[in-house]
Amino acid sequence: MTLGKAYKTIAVYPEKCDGCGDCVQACLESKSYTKNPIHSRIKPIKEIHEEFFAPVICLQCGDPSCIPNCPSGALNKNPESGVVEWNEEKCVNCLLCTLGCPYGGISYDLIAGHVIKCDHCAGDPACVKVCKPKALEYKTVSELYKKWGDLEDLFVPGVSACLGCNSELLMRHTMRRVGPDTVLATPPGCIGGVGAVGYNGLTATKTPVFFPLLTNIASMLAGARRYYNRIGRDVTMLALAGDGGTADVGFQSLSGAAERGEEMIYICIDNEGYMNTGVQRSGTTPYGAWTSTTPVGPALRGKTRDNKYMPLIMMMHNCEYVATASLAFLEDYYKKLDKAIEASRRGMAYIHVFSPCPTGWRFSPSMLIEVARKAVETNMIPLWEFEYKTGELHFTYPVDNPLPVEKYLSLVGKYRHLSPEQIKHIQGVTNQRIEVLKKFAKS
Amino acid sequence: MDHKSQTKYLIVGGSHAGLTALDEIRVCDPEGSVTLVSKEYPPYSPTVLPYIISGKINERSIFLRDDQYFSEKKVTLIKNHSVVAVDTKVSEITLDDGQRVQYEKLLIASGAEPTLPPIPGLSPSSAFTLRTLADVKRIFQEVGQASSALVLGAGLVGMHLAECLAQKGMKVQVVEMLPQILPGYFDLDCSELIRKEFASQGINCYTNNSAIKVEALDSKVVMSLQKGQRLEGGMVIATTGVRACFDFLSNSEIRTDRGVLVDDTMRTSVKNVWAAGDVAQAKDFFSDKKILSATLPDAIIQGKIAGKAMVGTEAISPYPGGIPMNTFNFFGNRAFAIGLANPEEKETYEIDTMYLPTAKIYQKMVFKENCLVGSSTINSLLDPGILLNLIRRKVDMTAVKAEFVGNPVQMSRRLMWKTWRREEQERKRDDIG
Repeated sequence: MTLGKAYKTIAVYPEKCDGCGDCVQACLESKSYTKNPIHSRIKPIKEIHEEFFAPVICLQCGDPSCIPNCPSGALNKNPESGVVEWNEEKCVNCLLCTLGCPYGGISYDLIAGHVIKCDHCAGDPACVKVCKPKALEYKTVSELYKKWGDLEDLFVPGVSACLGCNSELLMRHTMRRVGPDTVLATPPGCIGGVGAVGYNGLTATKTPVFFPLLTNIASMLAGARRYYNRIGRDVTMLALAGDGGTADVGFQSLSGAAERGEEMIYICIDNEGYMNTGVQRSGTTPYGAWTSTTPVGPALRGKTRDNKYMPLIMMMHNCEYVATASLAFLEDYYKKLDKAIEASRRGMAYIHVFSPCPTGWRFSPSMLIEVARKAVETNMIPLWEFEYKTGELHFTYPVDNPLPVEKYLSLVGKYRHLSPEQIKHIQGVTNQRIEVLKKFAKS
Repeated sequence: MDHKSQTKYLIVGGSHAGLTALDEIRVCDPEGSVTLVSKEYPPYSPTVLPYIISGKINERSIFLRDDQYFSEKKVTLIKNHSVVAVDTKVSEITLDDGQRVQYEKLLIASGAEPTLPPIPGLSPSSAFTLRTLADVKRIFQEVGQASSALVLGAGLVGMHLAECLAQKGMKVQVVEMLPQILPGYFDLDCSELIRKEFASQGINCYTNNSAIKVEALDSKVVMSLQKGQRLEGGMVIATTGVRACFDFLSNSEIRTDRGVLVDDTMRTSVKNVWAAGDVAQAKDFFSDKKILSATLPDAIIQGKIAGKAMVGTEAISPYPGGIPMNTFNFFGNRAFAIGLANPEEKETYEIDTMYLPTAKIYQKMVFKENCLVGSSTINSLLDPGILLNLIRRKVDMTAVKAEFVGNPVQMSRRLMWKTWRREEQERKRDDIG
């Protein structure tokens, strides 16, 4: 299954634009052979009191409002390129298109005597090439899908995951990127539970997969990789394991493998508890969260201890690569997978993926991505990466003005009972963790 | 013929409103049966007709859709027929050949037709109108013989036509009853400048003056005016206005006034009937009245809303109300007027005007309570679509008004970026990799 078509677009980043006007000159050279900016299809905002520059240009809209306004059929969206094309032969110069566009993307050129608009220079826009501050980029809407959408999905359709399962999204994307030359280890947990390791003798994966115990995921993968190294084959070792198999029961084998520098990608799918066995607490269940073993009643108000922060623990093992991720930021995740694949040839790459669970955390499946996003925007789940070869930790999605943690907590049912004091505690833990990470980032 | 068929969606009228509604229905409901009744086929826009006369566009290349489009959209076409009656009790229409079509949901997008003012001697046989391709063909036959023309009515169609005929080498004179040309859109100052440009091209416009008699004399037509002039021309073309076409509703329960009355979702007084385009009488943006807006951009907006409403999707933003708007290209100059460019009770508005005679640039901005409500310009670099959105979104200009008036091109673009453009970009940021 592939993921459909995406068009190229000129993306505008107004915060990077310095108003230099090079794009106008490039457009003029490409389109009009004059120096009169009136002929330019791209127009930076300038000469105003406030310092604000942002080019005005046709967006090649998906549902353009210039096209239906044309009484003579002179405007059309090219189904191949997505460019809204103007046909001079059919145009009657009524200019109703200029009334239809809310972005100033098509305008009347008084000297040429007809409307002008951007046509992407037949797929090689001149303005983008000369933009030094990179305020213009020529890229595909949903670049990711275009890039990886044609690769094979290495899981069969129709696994038995719950509605809105983050783990299914994660395993499909991860396997698509890591590729078929992989041995996958999935211990007891949701990934194994949805059928990855077995349907009456068949597996749901299209790669070799095995089912280690919760306690020996990393050591079994280490052995497999060493064997492949001995026979001279370069095969990716990948673990898709839950937080129990990673941070609790399976920790000693993971810690040992990391310390020995075993070559693998270990991905922890952290849904903050034992979800497939009935929502019990784990070492990564956060403070205040309801689980079936940290109930809410007159005496107890959810978990009383803070979670352990696995990514930093793994960083202190001197892993080749350590990162955190949230699937609300898929492009960020793909970049981290790229680095993890490369690092797994030298030692351990560890990615800790925040994985909200609609079933166990009590929220609507339709809210999955929003929950995954708000956790990042409140700084509850900071996105960062660490590379041993440079010794640097850096934030991949720095949140300068984080939302208050309530914005995240209020979306999730397992936090419904929280008192103001508990929320204050969570805010305190969140702030403290960010400060600790910032110290690593500075050094 | 007493043939009877059934359809889920029935669209009467195949111009902008009907076609836009059809597209919208197919976005939301790819399979439900759609039937479209159109007097004219293939569909085209009346807006382009003057340009066929001038030769700017070939009459074969004006069509907006073709057979392939309708078959891909799975539309049953009833071409070259018109509706004669609607029975809302049994949800059924009758066509001019007796054929009946039963509908679940009906859209009336039957448009408008030209009217002739009650002037002695003025009749369909003595004067031409311009609304259909057949009209164009009749005018063409005459243009071949006549070397001069009289245009009655200085609206947009009349003025376009005057320029187009002049480009064919004809001597053209225009007569307008009201004190200015292009009434209803442009303000007096702006229209005077446009009139001067027409005069310099040899086209005289007699305003504040109406025709009182039209008579044929040899091969010429003589038009007598109220103020005593006698104008001669080879032909008379009346472009004095249009009226909404809804005679076929006379025995139905659908409420009408000067058009078919509709609410904010283009629904008529009958639950499963909608109306859009020139035939619909809908909310005015600036007042509580219901108006006939009769512009192409409004037909599109109304057609979209009607299509969505007919399918029953929840994602309908209600009709914001009709805003008068038009663009006017004349002899290489560009003019446009949006909103209350010419408000009554001027003292309650804040009006700023700028005129540069040598560059032929004119610009007028009308504000009310710190919001832009109208603008008319000639040869400015302003983006009409941005101004229209500033008006429609009632963007508060308190802090920036002085700078806006001084530098409206840049400031309107900045306001566009800071309000709807950035908002939409942020909504899409995760799609843009």
